[in-house]
Amino acid sequence: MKKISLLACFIFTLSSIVFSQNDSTDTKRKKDKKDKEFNWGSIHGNFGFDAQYYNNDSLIGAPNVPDKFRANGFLNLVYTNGNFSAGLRYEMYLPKPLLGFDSRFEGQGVPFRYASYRIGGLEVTAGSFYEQFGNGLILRFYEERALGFDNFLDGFRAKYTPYKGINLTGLVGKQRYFWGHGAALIKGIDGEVNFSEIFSKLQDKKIKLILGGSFVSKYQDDQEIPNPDNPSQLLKLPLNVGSWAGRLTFGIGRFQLNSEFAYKINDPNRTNQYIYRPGSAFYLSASYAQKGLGITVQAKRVENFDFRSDRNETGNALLMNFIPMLNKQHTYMLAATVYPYAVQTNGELGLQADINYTTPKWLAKKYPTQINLNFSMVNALDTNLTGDRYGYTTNVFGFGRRLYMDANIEISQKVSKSVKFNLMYMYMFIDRNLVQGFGYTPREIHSHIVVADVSYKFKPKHTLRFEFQTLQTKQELDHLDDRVNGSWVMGLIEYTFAPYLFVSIMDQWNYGNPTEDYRIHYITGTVGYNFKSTRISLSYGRQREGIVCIGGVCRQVPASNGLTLSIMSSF
Amino acid sequence: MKKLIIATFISVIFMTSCDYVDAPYIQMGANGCTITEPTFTPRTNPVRKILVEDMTGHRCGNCPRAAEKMLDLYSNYPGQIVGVSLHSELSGYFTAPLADTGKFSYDFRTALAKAIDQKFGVSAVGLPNGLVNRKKVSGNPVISHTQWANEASQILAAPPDMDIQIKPFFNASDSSLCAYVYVECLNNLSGSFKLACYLVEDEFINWQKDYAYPGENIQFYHHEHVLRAPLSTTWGTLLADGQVNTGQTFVNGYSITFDLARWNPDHCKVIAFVYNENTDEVIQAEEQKIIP
Repeated sequence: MKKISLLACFIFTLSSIVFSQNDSTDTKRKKDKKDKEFNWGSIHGNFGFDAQYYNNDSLIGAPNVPDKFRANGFLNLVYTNGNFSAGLRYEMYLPKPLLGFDSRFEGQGVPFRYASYRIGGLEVTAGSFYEQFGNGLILRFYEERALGFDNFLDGFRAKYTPYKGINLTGLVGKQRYFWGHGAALIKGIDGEVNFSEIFSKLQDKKIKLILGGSFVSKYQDDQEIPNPDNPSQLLKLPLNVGSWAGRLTFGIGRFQLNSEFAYKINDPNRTNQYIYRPGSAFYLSASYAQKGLGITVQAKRVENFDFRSDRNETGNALLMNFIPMLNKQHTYMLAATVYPYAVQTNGELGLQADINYTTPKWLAKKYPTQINLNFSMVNALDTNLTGDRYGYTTNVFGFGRRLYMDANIEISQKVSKSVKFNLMYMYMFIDRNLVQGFGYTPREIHSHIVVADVSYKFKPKHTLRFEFQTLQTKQELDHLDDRVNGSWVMGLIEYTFAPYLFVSIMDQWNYGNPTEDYRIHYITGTVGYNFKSTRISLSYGRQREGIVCIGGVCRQVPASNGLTLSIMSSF
Repeated sequence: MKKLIIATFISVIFMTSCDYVDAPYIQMGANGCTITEPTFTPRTNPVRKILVEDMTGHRCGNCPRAAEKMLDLYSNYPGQIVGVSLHSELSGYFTAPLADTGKFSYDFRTALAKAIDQKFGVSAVGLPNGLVNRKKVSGNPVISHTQWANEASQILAAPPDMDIQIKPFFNASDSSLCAYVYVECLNNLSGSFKLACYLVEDEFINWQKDYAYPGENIQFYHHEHVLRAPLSTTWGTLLADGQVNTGQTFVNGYSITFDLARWNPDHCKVIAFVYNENTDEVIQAEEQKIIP
């Protein structure tokens, strides 16, 4: 990020030259005053623009786009001057948002703007801001542009550090809801004590201890919501819904533990079919690290914990919290996007183990081998329906139906100065109906994915990369209308002239689709150019329908065919 | 220390930001009433009161005969009859307003009457017909007006199982009505009990067809007990599911804003009744003029 303060620099330099010739105290004071007067601060920011020209392509199921051209764009500007900062973001979705983004974003404006200053241990922000308490179980306001996800809070926030190692945060406001605000007023406080910072003896003994707690409440006006069991009755709604969480981070030497427990009182809402059972969430992560070896074991249990600032909203709108995903965030296309897992905020039990191992020098000889072993599984809760509005009771440690399982091994090896490869094998299981909310009828898919990724640097700065992937699975003969069905192969060739230029061509082929017409080649060609902090890319081809997930939060993307221009730049 | 006190104070404020809702999780209190709930004193000698619903139509020439039977019931059982005249869209020709003749242009029909008609199938049998306490006779709740008196006498012979009191509060400045309904159980009863509350208007003068009248069309006919609107939902508020016990009481409030162009508050009354959802049979009914 480059600061722009040309005028300030110019004046500063000029004044330095002029005043350096006189050393009298009086003149010095004047100089200081002058410098102060002309400290205009600095502005930095970033800019993004994605535009797409759409072709009709009924074969891949691309929806007809009458306007043909659509673009999403934004510009962030941040002004800082000492302890003061202010910023804004202009956004544009014209004439309509790109396919796959919520159509309610249509339009342009400046939804995000704030001013903030810091005095001693106090920092105050008015306007729009992002925030996270602990692991985010009861509060996380964040932006994920690729998902079209933005749930910042518009309001007021104070952060206070009364003593080194003690941090307090209080906030109040309403969440962004496209071009307006969510229905509920949100209030939250968070406190964290870092004992390792307070007591230096702990640091000496390499002990890390952090305790934190938070409380978040939302208030939404009463509404007439009929009882789903008997529409002639109206539900008695809690207008104030509170939730709290406690967390602990403990580390000693190479071992670290991080855990958080959260509880939410009755919060009948559309996503839980208006039941009154309280919600709870538990997250635990234990890790061990030493040279060449890293082990992480994680567990979570989430029950009725969809928390959002409008009891009638669904999807990604107005989410107030974030349930961490305990599955590997895959980067290879077929592993990441064909059958992705979406976190089930209203009930899941998950486990993950992840081991990273790098072969030691004596074994590796010239180039070490990096091995990653990862296993994760997520099950639904073991519930018994109560038959009334309370909803259900659960067996705390009971595992319900399996939602997802992923076991994979990834090996990275440099062979010579110019050649390196990455190999991955993955077994995956998913119950698509349960995970995507299509009902309780099982739709179980078992798949095996193999990836080979080879890079060859044939000249300094010139690299060719080849990627081959395949996903092997049985055909779903009872879903013949599905364009994602059966086995896939994918190939990619990429040429990079570092750091400026890259060209790639990729083909994904659903060759195993039981419907012959749907054995489609999704071919895309991309050219990209990087210059300093700007990246421009142009791609042309087909994008298949699917689900894009980041951190377990997903959005549905329809198929499209066309030309895409993407520009990202920061200054 | 000062900071600790402030922090504790803030925490207490936040901790109070929780509304715990107990079972059965449905609205039992005042639905939009801004008037404080009044006190009700149990009556010393409550009597059984019945709900008589007359499915009628302004262009139904035999329907005034049923209206006469209703008035007879009021005379014969003073203080024990709660009458309602329902104009349902399902009655077709009988209730449809006429647009071009100047006669019968008023639309008496309500969605509430249609819902009740649909459930009990009165229009399907033909007009005039009605329901007495929604009680089934030989498996059929639809009873001809000629049988109402007989049915009423049998039901009214028994002592009451519940008592209902209504306290309406009409605010002329904003035309709002808030009505509190008190239900007292006089016996132990099993079932799923619901309280329904409607707005009804008396002495509404408009056209009525009457085959017994010379020329058949009466311009200044007095329409009594005209069903106007629900105060509760159509099927009412659940009071108890399973069982009610002697001495158990329930108070529910309901509110509505008057459509002054159509309803005259001086002639309106609130009716309320409790019924067993399992049998649809009315246990007790009550009516109360909103302006005494």
